Amino acid sequence: MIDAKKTDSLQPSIGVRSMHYLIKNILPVIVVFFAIFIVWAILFRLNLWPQYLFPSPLQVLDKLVALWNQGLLARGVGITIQRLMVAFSLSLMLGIALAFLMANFPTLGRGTQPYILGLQTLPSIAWVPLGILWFGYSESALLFVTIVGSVFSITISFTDAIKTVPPTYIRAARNMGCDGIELLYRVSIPASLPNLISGTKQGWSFAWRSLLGAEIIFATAGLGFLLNVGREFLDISQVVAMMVTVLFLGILFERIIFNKIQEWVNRRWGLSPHT
Amino acid sequence: MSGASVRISGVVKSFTGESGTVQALDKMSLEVAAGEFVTLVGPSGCGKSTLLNIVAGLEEPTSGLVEIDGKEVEDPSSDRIVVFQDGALFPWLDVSGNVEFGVKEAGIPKEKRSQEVTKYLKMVQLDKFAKSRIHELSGGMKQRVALARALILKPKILLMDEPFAALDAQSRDDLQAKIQELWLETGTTIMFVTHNVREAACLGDRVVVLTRRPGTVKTIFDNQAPRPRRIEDEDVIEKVREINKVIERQTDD
Repeated sequence: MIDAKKTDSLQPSIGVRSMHYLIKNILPVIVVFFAIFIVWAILFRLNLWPQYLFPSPLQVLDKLVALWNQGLLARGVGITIQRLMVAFSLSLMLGIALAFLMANFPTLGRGTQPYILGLQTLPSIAWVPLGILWFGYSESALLFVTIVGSVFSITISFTDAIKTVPPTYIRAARNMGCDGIELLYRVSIPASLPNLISGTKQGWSFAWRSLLGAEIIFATAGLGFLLNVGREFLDISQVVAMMVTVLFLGILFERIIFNKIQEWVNRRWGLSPHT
Repeated sequence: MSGASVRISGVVKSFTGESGTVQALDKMSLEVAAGEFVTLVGPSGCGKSTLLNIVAGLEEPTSGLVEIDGKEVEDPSSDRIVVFQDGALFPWLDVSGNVEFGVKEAGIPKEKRSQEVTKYLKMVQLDKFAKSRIHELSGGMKQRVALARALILKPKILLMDEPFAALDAQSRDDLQAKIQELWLETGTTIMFVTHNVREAACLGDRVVVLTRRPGTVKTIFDNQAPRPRRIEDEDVIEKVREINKVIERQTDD
């Protein structure tokens, strides 16, 4: 360990290292971004498709600015994120409760697992008609679709996470007098935290996809709604502008926020000491 | 702190898995006196770990019984602590968090707890590493943390399951000296399982040689050479020869 520290101090200083990191990892991403922008602009100039089917990048940018100035963009994002937060929190609580039941009652777990796995394979869009019939064109229907679209994924990944805790951890803890609910929150949960976080991330992405799908079909506000309005008014710039917004938010949450949390936990748990 | 006696009487243990029933222990009987340091040596898969787990109360025997100071073992207890081969340290806690785990469970107040943690970390010379993460430690340091985590509970019996098997020679020598020192200091009973005859001869007051699976006691050697012993001591080497003769005869059977 002392040796490891010595070699560490031989590494270039933080500033030089992060500069190096930027050039190696961030720069290519920026270059590709501009490349896409330029290819897109050239394709537009070639007039291969009518303008009402293929907008230019600048038209899309203008649209985003216009929607922002009208306050529609911020409102749309706000509504969608709020729905997602509410639905995902409920889904998480429900998923944890189901996973807890399945892990604690193995017979129940074995009996229900194939059905839960089956339900997870059902595309969330397939729940939309049922949601509309049960709850009408309402917020509840959107929440319903988002929850059922993500809860089974959370249940399965959490059940698996708790099951993969190394048995010697459990033995050592029981040996020191730790049992029952204490064993769960002092050992099982922290031991499986890296897997619980990746399960949460996966559940989040299911919820995100389900909500956007449902919003496009029947919402009266939110990003999916704005996207669909673009189609109804044959405003291709708005359609693409909303797609870009959805894409950006997806990257922000999944790739940046969740990945950072995951890296931090893995580092502390010693799962990837070299990153 | 002082040790407790162990009486193992006719313990049988079989496991039923997908590939049928495997018998790990067969009518195993052994008495260990309070404060004694006993080593158990035998080939891999002879049920050594299973025996320790049964004494710890982490597994139930199929038949037979284990008594501690005359009382039958029913549940795990912090009176009998297992030190596992890989240490089984918790990577989500730092070094002091690991050592604190059991005393926190016992509900000892915070201030008293941190005094105890410091005391036991000093005992294993790791007080400077209290805030280190587990993955930053070497194998030998990890086993010393595991020892501190066990000793802080003042166990009457320490059950050591090949604790030094995965270590390099240097760390193993250090820890073999350390465990003798800690044993003399605390007076706890130690049952120490190993597949290394030299280690068994170096550490034990008695060396219990086990048979192949299903494991049972084959021969017991008395070993009263003066302590602290080192693995290269003449007395130890002589004892190893004596034990190996019996083990070789056993394989000829």
